[in-house]
Amino acid sequence: MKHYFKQIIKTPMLILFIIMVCIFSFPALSQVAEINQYAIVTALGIDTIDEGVNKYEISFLTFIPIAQQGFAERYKVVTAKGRNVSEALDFAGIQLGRQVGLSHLKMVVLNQELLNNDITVFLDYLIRNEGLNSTVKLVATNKSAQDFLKSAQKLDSDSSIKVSELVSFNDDYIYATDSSLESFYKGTLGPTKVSMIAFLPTEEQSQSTAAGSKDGENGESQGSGSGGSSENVTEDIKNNGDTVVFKNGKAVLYLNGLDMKKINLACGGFNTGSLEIRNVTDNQFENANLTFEIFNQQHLLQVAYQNGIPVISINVKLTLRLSEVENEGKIFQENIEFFDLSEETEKNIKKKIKKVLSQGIEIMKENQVDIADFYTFLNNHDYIKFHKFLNSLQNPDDYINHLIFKTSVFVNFG
Amino acid sequence: MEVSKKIEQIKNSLHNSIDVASRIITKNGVVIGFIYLKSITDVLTFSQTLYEPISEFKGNIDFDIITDLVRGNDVKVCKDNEETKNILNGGVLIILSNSDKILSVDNLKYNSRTPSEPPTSPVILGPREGFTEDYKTNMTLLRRHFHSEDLVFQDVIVGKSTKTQIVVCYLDGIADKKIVKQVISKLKAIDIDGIVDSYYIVSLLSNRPNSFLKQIGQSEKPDVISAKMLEGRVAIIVDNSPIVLTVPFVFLEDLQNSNDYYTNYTYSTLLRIIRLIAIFMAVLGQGIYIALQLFHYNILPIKYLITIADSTQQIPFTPFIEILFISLLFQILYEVSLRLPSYLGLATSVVGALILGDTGVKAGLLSPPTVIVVAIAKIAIYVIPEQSSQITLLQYIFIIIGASLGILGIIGAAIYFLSYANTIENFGAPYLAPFSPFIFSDNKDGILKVPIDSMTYPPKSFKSIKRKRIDEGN
Amino acid sequence: MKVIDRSITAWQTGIILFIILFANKILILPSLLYDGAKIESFFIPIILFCFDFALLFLFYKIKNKFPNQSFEDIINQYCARWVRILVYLAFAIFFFGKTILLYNVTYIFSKNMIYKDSGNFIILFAILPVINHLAICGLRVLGRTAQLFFPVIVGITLFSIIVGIMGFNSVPLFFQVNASQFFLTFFKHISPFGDTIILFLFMDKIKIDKGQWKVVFSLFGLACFLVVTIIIVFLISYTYTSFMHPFALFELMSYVKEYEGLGRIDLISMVIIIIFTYFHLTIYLKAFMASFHGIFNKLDWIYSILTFNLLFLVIVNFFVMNLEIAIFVGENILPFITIFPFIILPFIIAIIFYKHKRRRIS
Repeated sequence: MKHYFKQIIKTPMLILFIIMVCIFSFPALSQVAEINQYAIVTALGIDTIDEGVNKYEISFLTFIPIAQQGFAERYKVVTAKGRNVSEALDFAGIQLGRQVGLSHLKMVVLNQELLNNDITVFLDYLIRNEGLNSTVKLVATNKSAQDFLKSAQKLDSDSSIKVSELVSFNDDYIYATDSSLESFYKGTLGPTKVSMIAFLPTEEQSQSTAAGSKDGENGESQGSGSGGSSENVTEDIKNNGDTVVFKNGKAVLYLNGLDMKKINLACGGFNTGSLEIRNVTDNQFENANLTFEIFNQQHLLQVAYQNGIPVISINVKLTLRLSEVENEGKIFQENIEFFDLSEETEKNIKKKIKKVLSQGIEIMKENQVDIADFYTFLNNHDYIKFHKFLNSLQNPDDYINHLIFKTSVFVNFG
Repeated sequence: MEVSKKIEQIKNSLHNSIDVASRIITKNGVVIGFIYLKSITDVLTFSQTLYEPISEFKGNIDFDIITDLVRGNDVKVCKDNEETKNILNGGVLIILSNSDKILSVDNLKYNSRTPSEPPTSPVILGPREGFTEDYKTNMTLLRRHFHSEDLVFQDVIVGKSTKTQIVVCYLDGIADKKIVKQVISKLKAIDIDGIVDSYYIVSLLSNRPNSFLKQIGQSEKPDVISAKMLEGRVAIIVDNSPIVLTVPFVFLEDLQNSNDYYTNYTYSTLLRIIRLIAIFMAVLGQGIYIALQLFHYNILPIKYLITIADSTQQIPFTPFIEILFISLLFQILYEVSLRLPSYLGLATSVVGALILGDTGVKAGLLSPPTVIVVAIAKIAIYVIPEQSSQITLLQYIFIIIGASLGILGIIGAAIYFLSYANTIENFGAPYLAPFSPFIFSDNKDGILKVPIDSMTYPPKSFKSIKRKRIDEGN
Repeated sequence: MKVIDRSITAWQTGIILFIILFANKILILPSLLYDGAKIESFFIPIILFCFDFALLFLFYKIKNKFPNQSFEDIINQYCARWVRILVYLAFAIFFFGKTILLYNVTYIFSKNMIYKDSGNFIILFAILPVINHLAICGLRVLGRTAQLFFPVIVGITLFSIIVGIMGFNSVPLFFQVNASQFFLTFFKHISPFGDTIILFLFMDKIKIDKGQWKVVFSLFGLACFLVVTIIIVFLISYTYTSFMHPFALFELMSYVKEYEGLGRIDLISMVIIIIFTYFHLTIYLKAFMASFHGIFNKLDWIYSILTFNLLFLVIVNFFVMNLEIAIFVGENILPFITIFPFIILPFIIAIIFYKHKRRRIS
């Protein structure tokens, strides 16, 4: 035994390690799981109010664990007011008796009223929170963020569709950008100071349809979740693919899905979607509306300086596939796969696509928002010439209006 | 020599034990005495091969004639003071009144088990023979693998009371002479009252006897021992133990299984990777789970977090106590199922675990995720049954570290134990070779296994005589 | 208690070199670099790695000239006693300073990412016993254990880089920095470099055969390549928000939406950051021990360990528990200390070479 102890004493680090473990393991015996100390927030909404010192109302969707083995996700909307976001979150924590855990936050919702001011002011707390994932979605809504979250909760329990999934879908198929907190800041801090986020309006729904789709269990969670509110009118989230464009952190432009398509054509880097060409006349049809599926889109930017002014040529190469023919009165009797459009029609279509492209550029010019980030392209292409050009402008911020664009479209009907 | 006096003297030296038998006959005036131990000699053989030929012989008896008459297979003249030793080894001593020499005839016989498939290492394909408690049978089993003059057996007797026969076996021209010498000198230096099982000499052979890590290889199968001897290892057979030891030992040996060599090498590779994953799950699984629960909930994906949060809500225990409790419960069930008779053992292990686990969960005492994590960890131990004691110990250490220091502590402890294992070198073999230090050629039979014709040279993790095992492209 | 440093192989030397080149540059450095020199800042580590390469080449030369001697013996042979003491004192200060800096960054990382509510002592006590144990076990055990983790480290790093590349969604803006800004940033962030001089401290323990040098050089190259790649990938991934993300390798993994279903895969990079910290702190501790032994070469090893722990506990507890102080010290004080590895040490070695040549001629 003595020999054995002597051996142990020869390894003092082991003893130290054992002592450390002893010191820390006794408190650990009584330590409750961290999950029970935190309110796990999955979505956060910010509204403005005017109640004396309190300027903000924070609502969040939090997961409430209930002892059961059904593994249903029960959420509750919690609201709190405060002078700033962190204070409101603190109050919410006090209200729940738990700390607010933002590590699983998936979405931040902003009320439309907030968008007219610089929104970076109240997003500051979130962007500086290290525990936050960089892929947190940022969306705006037309009414209060609190209502939006309630609708999101309802959407969750009525179907398996999550609002964050809606936003992800928009990111992948509608905007050419990522509607996240990170990309919002990236845009705002970048040279163009332009960023975009998704706009998901809520619309009032009559009560009968909403009640019909609820089962008993969800109804219970809804009742307890919304903090005792028993409103008859319910709100539904409507996804139209709308987008808000910000400049310097302030909303400057609301774009609908159609406008977005036009801009995407000018921005490139986006391969899916469809293109509708109206009033096309060919041998087979007259004044028909054709819809093409975009198979592939290649984008080539070239720049040349004329009298110190950059001339950007946008060469778009599209591979289109006819997917729908809306031909009034006459059935289009051709297999789309083997059908060739006449040369003249192709020219006509190209012209129309070019027009769409120009419209996209026009939207950017009109609102002075460089969504396509021509700035970086020009800067990296020829730094000296571009800055000479910028310096020659009265208002360098308005550089996009002084750029000259040349567009060319090449279409491949696959 | 006065026969009766000598017999009495020998009996006294054996403390008049009741199994000492003696017989005195007189033939043509010559007194012939037989003395032996009834318990370890074959009485029938005695009468047929010794007693009958001598008693029926008609002529003058002297020592040379007796030597010719005896039909035994191992007949030798007993050296001075070795009478008792010969008797104890199963010999029959023949003492003549007209000679000073004593004849010893080997007549050893006792009941021993026939070689059968060892319960600890069954195989699907491959030899099913296992060692027995009789060292001679074990030597026979090894001889059957090597019809070669290179197989050498050397004996050492250890234990003041037990005088246990220990046989050191190696292949001359393959095993490193220094290692053989070292093993023999270490065995000779052992000063102990008795060796009951081969495990007694395990810690006496190890360089770091106080370490909890296993440092000597063990196997119950002649094919495994033969394969290890072919790689240049030295085997140690201990009488009365079916477990044969091998040195030098590296951790990798336990990751390898005899099954690996009797199936396709790609499948063996897959199995080894799975075994490695299982070790990780067994050692770290519970520790990481408790660390995540107590310190790092934010790392878990939301879906998993919800499942855990829901199922741990009404549990009366804190997570640490809960996991310790379930872990202990499983350990108790394991111990019980091991000790109980097989029909009862089966009932306790399966039914006990099911009923206790399920009832515990339904009663709201235990949470399902914890039961699953503990069960996986406990089952995963037995992918390497040879290391089960070490892994079990580490499991508890990691649970405590995970609960007290979190993930940082777990990684720290993993580094601590791995570096600790790296300090161990037995007979010149680094414990974690061929991974650290990294030996490229030995990794052909490490986590990955290549076909046998690519393993040209014996392992370099420990010393052995350099040679080619196979010509490449054979 | 005895500390016996046994010899290490070329691979183990290379891996130790890999760890010290890699570990203190993958957390806060890329973010600070962007803050100072924008996107072009990735040139800074490339230039500084060239300095480190020069030190490695110097080591190669001196090792070939004096294959079995320790650096202490060489200095004793060619320089006065006070030079030896001063050089080793500089070694000790250099490595101790960097230990504190590294610990501090890791501490902040752990506090923010791993232990939100737990006490500060948990981090300290999870780290100290392990690094002390590794240091006591000796250089060979350290080398072997590092070798065991090496495939994991490289594998996960490559995985992080690939994941990071998947997160690219913006084009970086070049030409935003002028020469003075660039060089100021260069000087401010010189202190994480110059660790290669650690090899001089263990010169006699390193056994490298003639053909094995390529292993050391390639591992050096791999470390430089990975660090520069991580910095570039990080800067391109985050561009204008880089300055907000202080834990580069960790952040690379957390910005990829493709992996949302798997939960937070940044856990994987967290694990290797922790592994790196353990090894890197141990290597620094070993370096401190060797330097201490160079100053007081009659004292037992135990005193060097005790001194380190005492100093470490005092400084860590009283001075550095926030990132601002650490960054201030790292940017304004430590750059001056790097004069030692990049100027003074090469100068001394040049003198040694000169004297050696003269002695041989005479």
